[in-house]
Amino acid sequence: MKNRISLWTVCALFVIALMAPQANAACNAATLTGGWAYLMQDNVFILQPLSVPALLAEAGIFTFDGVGGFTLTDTRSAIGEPVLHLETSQGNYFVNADCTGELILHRHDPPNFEFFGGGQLVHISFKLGPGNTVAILAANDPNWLVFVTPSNSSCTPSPTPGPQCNTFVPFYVGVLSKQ
Amino acid sequence: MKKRFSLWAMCLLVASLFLMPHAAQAQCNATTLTGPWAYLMSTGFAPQPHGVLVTPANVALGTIVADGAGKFTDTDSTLFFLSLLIPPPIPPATIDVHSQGYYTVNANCTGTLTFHINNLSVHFDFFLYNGGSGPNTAMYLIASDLAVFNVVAGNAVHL
Repeated sequence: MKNRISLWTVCALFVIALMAPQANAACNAATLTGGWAYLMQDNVFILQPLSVPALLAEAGIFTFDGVGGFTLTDTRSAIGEPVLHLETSQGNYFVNADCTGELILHRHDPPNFEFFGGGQLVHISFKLGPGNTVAILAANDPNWLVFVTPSNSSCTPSPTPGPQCNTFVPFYVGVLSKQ
Repeated sequence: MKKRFSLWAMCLLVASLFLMPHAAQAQCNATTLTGPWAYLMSTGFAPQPHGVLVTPANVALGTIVADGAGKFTDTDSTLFFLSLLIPPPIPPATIDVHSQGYYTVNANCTGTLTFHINNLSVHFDFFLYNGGSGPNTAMYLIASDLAVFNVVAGNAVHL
């Protein structure tokens, strides 16, 4: 009887430990496991010398594998450009113990997509909020070039923007939310 | 001995329920959207040099009610800013719209909304997430038509 009580006690403690909320636990790659939706917008962006304002936005779903890789399905829109609709791409990520981290996107855009150019790596920083179910995103990545050129220009943005191309680095901010 | 083995098996079974990865997401379908959703969508604001705003901008606040089978009704108010600082100032205009539309939901909890406003179709992609009251109770939205003047994006929550 005594052994049985001990066994039940151990079992109960084990289950209770698993049920206990993991508040403020240190973060790691597994923290992001699963699906996360996101929305990012570039709020202020001035194209020179055309002096025409431009805006960018994108939204989608990351599926994180819990060990540093992800797939992404997203839609991206920029003024005057064809919308990239529900495209799939891959990438890597890391999460620091303080719940900050970085997403590294492997983009493979159409070469003539003037706002984003051809294949490139894009770095997006993030910080998880309390509960680790929401994160703020910010990108100010010099690799994230935006190509602005009249449609009849001879600008060739990929793989390296030519001298006819105007290039800018957008400042993107957004939010990432667990599904 | 047999009873003790059963006890351990039960213990492991219960524990395994808590250890199962939470990544396993419920599959989404048209019924996931059933009911009313409030949304707020906006264009960005793009100030020109000297603080002059020449790009039309707008904010839309509305409610859609999804029937669970691919159709929805929409009631919204859209506030248009044609110019903020160019004299003479043009006051913002509000337009109330009642429309209907169709939606699709993919198993991975992405989907599309198509608003039919008069003879115009306006398309959005959406991406569901946990809005705080359970999985797939909120969504991010982005317009998926060619952005001529502004890029429209926003957020909706299930009511």
